Amino acid sequence: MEAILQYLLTGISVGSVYAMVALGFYVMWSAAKAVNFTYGNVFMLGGVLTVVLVELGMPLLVAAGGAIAIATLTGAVIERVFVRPFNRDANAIGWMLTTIAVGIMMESFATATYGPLGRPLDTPFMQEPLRIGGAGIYAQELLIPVALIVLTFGLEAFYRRTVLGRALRAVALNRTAAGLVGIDADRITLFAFGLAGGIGALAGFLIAPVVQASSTMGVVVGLKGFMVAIIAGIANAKGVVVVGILYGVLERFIEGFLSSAARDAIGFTIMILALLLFPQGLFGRKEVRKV
Amino acid sequence: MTERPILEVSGLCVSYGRIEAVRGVDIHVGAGEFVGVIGSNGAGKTSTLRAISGVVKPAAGAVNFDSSDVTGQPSHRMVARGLAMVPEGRMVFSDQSVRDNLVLGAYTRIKTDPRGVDEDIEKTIAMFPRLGERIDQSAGTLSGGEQQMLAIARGLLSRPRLLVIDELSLGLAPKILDMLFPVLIDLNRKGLSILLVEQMASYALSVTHRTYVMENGRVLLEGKSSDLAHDERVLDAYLGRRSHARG
Amino acid sequence: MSRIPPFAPRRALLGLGVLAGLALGAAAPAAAQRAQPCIGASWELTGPLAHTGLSIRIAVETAIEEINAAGGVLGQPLRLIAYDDQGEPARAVDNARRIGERDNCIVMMGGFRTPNAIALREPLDEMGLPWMGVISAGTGVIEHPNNANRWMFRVSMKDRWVAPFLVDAARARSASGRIALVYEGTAWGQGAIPDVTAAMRAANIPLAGQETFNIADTDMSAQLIRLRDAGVDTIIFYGVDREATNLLRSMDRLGYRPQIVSAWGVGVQFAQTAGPLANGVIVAGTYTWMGELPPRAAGVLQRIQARFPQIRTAADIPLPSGTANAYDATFIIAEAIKLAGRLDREAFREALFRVNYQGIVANYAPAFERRQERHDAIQASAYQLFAFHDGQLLPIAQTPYGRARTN
Repeated sequence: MEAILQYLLTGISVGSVYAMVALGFYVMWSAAKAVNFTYGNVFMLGGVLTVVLVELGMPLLVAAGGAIAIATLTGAVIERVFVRPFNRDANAIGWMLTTIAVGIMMESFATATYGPLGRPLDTPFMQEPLRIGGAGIYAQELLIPVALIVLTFGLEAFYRRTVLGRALRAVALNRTAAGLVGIDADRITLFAFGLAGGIGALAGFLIAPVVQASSTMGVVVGLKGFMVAIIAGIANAKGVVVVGILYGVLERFIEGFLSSAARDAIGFTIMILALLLFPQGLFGRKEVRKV
Repeated sequence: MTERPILEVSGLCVSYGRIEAVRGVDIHVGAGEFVGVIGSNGAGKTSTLRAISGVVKPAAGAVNFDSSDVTGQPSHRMVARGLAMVPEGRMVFSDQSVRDNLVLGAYTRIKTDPRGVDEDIEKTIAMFPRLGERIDQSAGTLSGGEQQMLAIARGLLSRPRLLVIDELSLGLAPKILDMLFPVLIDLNRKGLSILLVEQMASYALSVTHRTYVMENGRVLLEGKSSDLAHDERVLDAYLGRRSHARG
Repeated sequence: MSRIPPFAPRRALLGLGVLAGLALGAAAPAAAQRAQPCIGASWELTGPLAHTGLSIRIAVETAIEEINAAGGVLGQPLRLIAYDDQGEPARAVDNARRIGERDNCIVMMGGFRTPNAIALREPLDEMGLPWMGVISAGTGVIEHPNNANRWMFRVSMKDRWVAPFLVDAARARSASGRIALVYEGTAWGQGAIPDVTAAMRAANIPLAGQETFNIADTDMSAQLIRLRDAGVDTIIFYGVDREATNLLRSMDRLGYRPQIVSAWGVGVQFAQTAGPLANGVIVAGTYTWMGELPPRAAGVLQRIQARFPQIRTAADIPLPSGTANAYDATFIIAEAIKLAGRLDREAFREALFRVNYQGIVANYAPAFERRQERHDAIQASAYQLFAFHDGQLLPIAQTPYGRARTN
């Protein structure tokens, strides 16, 4: 029983990270119908840059703010330079390959400059684990689901209540129609990628104290976050969050009751089966391509 | 019309890859005119409008709007300049409410003139009571005719000087058209210039001042609508003495 | 070919003689040629393992400086030519060719990864180029099938000897006698299973648990819950800093703190990332540069710090054992060159078996013997236990964990 509770707690913790990363993919996809395969790297920047700025003497929150700001800028630059030129010509292979390549370069660069080893990030929430019915979890880990919920509702409010949010949805639905009402779709997409960059970096910063900030911390998370977004249907923010958390919990249960070594193999297989059963994703809606 | 036309298109060419859809078209719309463009499927009418409104870039030619050269300008800039297009297929934002669609129509002025936008939404509801009834419903749940109303209303929310409409009648019942066209005529009388591409030649000729006839990417004929309505060639080709438009 | 001048038959003969000599020289096997007094190295200098290359390089360069200050080898300065292989076996092979054929060094030095070393078996044999490993601890690096290893030597740990060493340490510290193996899902980690199982069998204790984890895993709760339920109080660990830290955190969450006895994948960075949780974790190795150092080693550390500004304290040496191994290895190489009396690879190889040397890791008397198994200079008796305490990696005797656990 205690074991199950432990799996739930750690599952929610790691699942929230996947969900946040998946939310970022959702924001980018909805605005551009393109995906940024460097995305794991803004997650990594959130952790790594915060550590670097703290080492330079900045207070923790200022460093985090700086890291998130830089990651936001990075997201925007990547859209402008590596995605937009290909998206214009509906060249999906173009942005896929380019962003994959750029992602690898960013990671190599981080490894070369920051070093391959992980570095700690101290926060007051990592002192002692909280005990909940015999299972334990660091307070820092609970910050992530909280941030996730705030973020989801915030995004929801943004999309529904603000003009910019509605413009983003318009661009997501039909780029041409958005242009016809005066929306600069390119600028909206740029904004979306920047916003996604900030979200990814926030996730990286929140989890770095728990798992150490290393140059490769974004690789697996980026992949799983993308997978979660696809399985959820990438068109629905709430769905993405639910699937992310579920997958984190699923992973823990697979490890607990089946196999640690085969965890990813089993997890990915289940995801692929889910996708075969629900090609639009679990919560997705049919994609209507407007010409 | 002695003043400069609000829209002047000269030598317009539009290509999609190798396919030349528009091959040197000259069109003008005078201030306050209601101008129609008719022709069969594939004549290049829609492509002409898309080039004018900035959805595609012309391969050659010039577009002059409101005394400025706007050739190649993207559509969102054209809206800011006062040219709004109601596209073929309506393209309403079906996942958002009617009200939100209208708000988005006013995207270029919502920050500077929120009060005016509210007023315009009220006016829209007055013009299209059906939209008013469904103001908070999702636009995807509207019928074809209601969506067309919404598309027009949305276009008007940017307070354009020229409204460009691509295929008004597509898929709409005559009853709806009988309701829509008077609205357009009324708007035109109040000073809105309109350029209308229309499959149903009879409708177009009956409401517009002037009409262009396009075929194979070129302008075949041009003249006063009332004259063209009695032109032999037009009667044969588009007014099919037998039945109405094939649609 | 220009016309041979008519009045210089002697010059012509001389010219022909030189040509003949060159031709003969080129035809002779490389091993018999006069080699250069250089150590050619293939290390992980860039990429994710760059910290391992650094650990080795600082030692070798410092040792060479000392050797040359004392007169060099055979009246010539000893040189280092270092190539980057980024941890890729194919590059290591390329580098070996460069070192063996173009640079013509007397000896080649290896780096961190065992697969890189194993890939070199054939090229080294073909070129007759002696090779000295300083970290790559895989048993197969030195112990080739059919006892065929002629050219590969090592000053480092040997995985097959590490396992019984760890098992002994685990037994001494386990109150309940329930010991488990936790290993990373890589070739190195999985290679530990037969070694550790054999060592446990030799000690007549069954393994109470065996759990694995993936690289980049952040949570090992499931594995730990199973071990806890099996009553395990001591874990033999094969993994590296990042996953070790995450393992400790998982333990912290569960409130389950078995004793950890780790193979030397865990380095100094672990103290940084795990913080106070690292206290009491025991690591096998050959050396630590922290704590009280004997005078010679203290001097070496000072010279390393002077020469390499990025090494501000001992905590900046990522793989302390590797650094010490490489330092000793360089001196052993110099000794062998001197004993050989000439820069000839065969002679050098023979001389290796005559080297007696007091190093900082061990007293090598002799460094190597003619059995393949003893191409490893450091024997299990020289293996050490270290423990993390208050951010330092110290010899276990200098920590509160020196005694076996008394529960």
